[in-house]
Amino acid sequence: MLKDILKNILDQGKKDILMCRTLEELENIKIKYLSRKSELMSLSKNFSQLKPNEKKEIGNLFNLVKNTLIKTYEEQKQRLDKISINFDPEHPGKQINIGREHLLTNSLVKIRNIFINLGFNIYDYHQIVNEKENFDYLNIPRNHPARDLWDTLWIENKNKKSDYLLRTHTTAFQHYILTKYRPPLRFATIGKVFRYEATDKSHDFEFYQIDALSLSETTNLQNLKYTIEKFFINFFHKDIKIRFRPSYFPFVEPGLEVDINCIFCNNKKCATCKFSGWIEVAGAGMIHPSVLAQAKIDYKKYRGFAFGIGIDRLIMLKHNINDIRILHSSDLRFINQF
Amino acid sequence: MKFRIHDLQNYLTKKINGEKIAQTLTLKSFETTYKNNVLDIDILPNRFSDCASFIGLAKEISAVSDNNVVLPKINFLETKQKINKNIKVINRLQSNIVPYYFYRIILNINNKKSETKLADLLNFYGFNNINYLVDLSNFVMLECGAPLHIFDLDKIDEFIEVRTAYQGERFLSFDDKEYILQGNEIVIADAKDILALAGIKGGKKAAVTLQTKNIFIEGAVFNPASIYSTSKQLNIKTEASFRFEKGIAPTSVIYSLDRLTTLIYNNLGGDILINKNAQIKFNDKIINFNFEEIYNLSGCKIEFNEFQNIIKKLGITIKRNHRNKIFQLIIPNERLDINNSYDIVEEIIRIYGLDKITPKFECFENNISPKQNFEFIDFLRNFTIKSSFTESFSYNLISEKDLSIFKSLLNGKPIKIYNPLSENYSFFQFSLIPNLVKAIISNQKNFTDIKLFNIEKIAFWQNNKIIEKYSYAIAIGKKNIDDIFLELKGFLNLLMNELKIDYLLSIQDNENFYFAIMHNKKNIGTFGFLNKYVLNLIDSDINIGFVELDLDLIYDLSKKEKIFNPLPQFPSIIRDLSFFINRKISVHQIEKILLSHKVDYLKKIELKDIYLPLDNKDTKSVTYRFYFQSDERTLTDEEINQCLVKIINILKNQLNIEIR
Repeated sequence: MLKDILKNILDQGKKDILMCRTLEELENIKIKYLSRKSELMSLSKNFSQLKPNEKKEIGNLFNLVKNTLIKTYEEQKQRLDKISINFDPEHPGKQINIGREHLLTNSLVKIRNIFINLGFNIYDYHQIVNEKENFDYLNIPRNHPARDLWDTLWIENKNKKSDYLLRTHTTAFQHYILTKYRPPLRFATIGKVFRYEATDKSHDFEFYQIDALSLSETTNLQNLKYTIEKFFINFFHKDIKIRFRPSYFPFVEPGLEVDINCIFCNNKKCATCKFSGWIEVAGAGMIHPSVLAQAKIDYKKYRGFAFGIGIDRLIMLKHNINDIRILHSSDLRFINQF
Repeated sequence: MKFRIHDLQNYLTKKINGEKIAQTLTLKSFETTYKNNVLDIDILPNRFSDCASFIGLAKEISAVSDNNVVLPKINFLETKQKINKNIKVINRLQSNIVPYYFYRIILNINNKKSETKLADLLNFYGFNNINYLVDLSNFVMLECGAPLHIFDLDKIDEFIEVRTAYQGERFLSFDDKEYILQGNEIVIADAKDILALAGIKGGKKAAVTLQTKNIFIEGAVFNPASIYSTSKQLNIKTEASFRFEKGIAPTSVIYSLDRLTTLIYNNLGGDILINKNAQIKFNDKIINFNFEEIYNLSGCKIEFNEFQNIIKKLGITIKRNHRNKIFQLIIPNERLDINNSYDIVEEIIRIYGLDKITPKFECFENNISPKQNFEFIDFLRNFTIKSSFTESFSYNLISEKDLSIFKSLLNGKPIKIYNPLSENYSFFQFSLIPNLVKAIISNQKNFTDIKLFNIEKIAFWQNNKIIEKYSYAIAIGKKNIDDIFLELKGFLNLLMNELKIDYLLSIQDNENFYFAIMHNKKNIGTFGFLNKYVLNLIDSDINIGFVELDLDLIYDLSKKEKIFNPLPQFPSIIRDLSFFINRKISVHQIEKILLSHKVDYLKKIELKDIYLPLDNKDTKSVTYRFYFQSDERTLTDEEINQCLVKIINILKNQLNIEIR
């Protein structure tokens, strides 16, 4: 009986001592096994009641257990002395200050890379352009009601309205590209556009767009669909389906509206997609022959597609941001989240 | 535009299923929603001319679904009596301004109030009930699409004239509003007054009333751009102007005119004068179309049968088989939007089904690679973030106040917005600093040490040209201005070392604590602090310092590719030296002198400490660390001591230092 108890104490004690990872733990274990009030020590009080032959045997065993535990304790103490550092593992540590990229720029770089991977040259174009680039070359002549679709901020010169304006769409880069480079070509531009528009949760007077165009002897609507679909799949990292609907933009024909299946409800209809299952994300089409003609490109030989996507709303959808003014802020409480 | 299902049903043979047709129209024509027997249709601007009417939309519905159109009957008889009540009509404008001016005269009408049914219909579509004649002409606009105008014939003086207004001429509209015209508006006038602002608004003088007996109905086509600019200029938007500025087909005008005549004749009676003017025959609108174009543009292989079915639904007919697969197509005259083969492909492909376009990868060599500075901008951004600055967002527009505070950062003339949204956004930014400073101030409430940067476009006028370029700026907001200086300077050194650009700071603007960052006598940026006055003005509790660099210039100056330097074979030995020196001598001067003398084995010097003793205002204590190294062997103490003596001698002789 007593023998078994002693053996148990030895086994358990050795194990507990070796399990200790800090000196503090080790001291607690020492108290448990080797202090006067420990189980082992209290056993010794009962030795007097034992028979003499038992007394000797148990006494020896007791000493062995006690000495082994002390030795194990000493060894473990030495070991811990070597490795232990005095620290509080729960301490949060020193605060490290790092710089962060703004979510917007981070997304713009990602989008740029998607287009590079899809085989587009990226071209950065002016934000201040002339009236012709923004409108006339794109088949939107002066006094055409279509101009109402783009409320414009104009530049003043000598107290008068000048021919310059803040581009209302990135499509304003198109004529420059078409006249400077010869087909086959594939270009995209990403950047800020400006509108004379009141600001609210989903509108701002400055926002971002990407415009892409492809021009060759074989470009068609299938290629357009492929490019747009691949862009959205890569942007959302989800299996996105797109849908074309007829639309009207003076610089494309056919003019198309592009919808993606709602990324929140997967076409099951929710508030985000206004219970339609689809979200409108882009305008697209084949470049209008008169736009090509203005750039002196043989529109009988070459065909091109073009599309434009508003970027801010995509970023907001992806990261669940419900106010564009937060996305367009320098509030570090916002920036530091990304 | 909203349409009640039962108003459309009158023109179609088969029953319309609202829910279903809304879906079909959305995918094939226009975005449409359906609710309570009403279709809400977003008719595209280029389809307004043919679709913004009951008949037009019925035709569209029959084209996209299994249904057929029934047109209302035109039946009226012109009077055989010879009545000498005709009026002379003069169109003084060229055919590109007023291409068509049709009219019809009806006499002896009994005008009255409209019946309830017509009145209700017009109310639903947003029209007031005036009297039967006016209401009927509004109804015909809804039914057939063309806005017509009825004048009271008895109130017209002598003749009808289509002309432009005289400058300053006055026009009194039917609702008693007076307009002073600028002289480029198209007007309909008689011998004395303007009767109507063409295509926009009717006048008071010849307005139709319940007492009207004899009428002149005008059906015209006006130049859309003229209507658009007049309507904008005078700020009058009416149902008619909205339609005219999008274009009206002359065939629709004739049809509408006949339809209105029929309705007046059948409901209010009257004698219709014979008028050859409204019996014009229009030429067919013909477009040569290559069947292959469908495949070329869409990639869809549509069978010839299917092509024939689709164009039939669209009312397009084949006039002649030109050559193999090239056709002469006759396009319905009201389709102003169809003008070339692209337009025809659009029609065919949307009826065929845009969902049948399958995504396909396009492969061709795209070997143009324009040289732009993306990589450099990415490098700058990453380098700055690594140095623990956070990127801020900025609007590119700034206020007049920003302009006045930061005027010294402007290198030319500011770009002013002609029609700013508000005073806060009235100039294009000529520097990133105003918005960076604003970003720091807006974060003051929640953060103490604020380090921000931004890379964006700036622009300004220079020699009457707009210069637009990227700029790069960092800013620190903190209580202690010395800390800001040291951090900014440390970062600037780090960056310029990385780019291998030498630079110097030279005082640019004492009042504002601005330094020009100079490279080879060229200004490449600004290093500055906001003074107390400015901090007060912009409500800042903390100090703000900044660096702004001309991104294009540093891009051009920077070394593009880094070259590997072999690692040293022998250890470098370090010695520190502390000395007193005149306070006015800058650290830069010390370093310049040390580097101009060739000291053997000296590889690098490093400023360790500057200390300004309180008891002596003319002197400062400076500690430098010197690194000695040989490429051939480990240097001995003796060699290094010799070098150090040489350094001390140089400093003593040239800068009069005193070793501590």
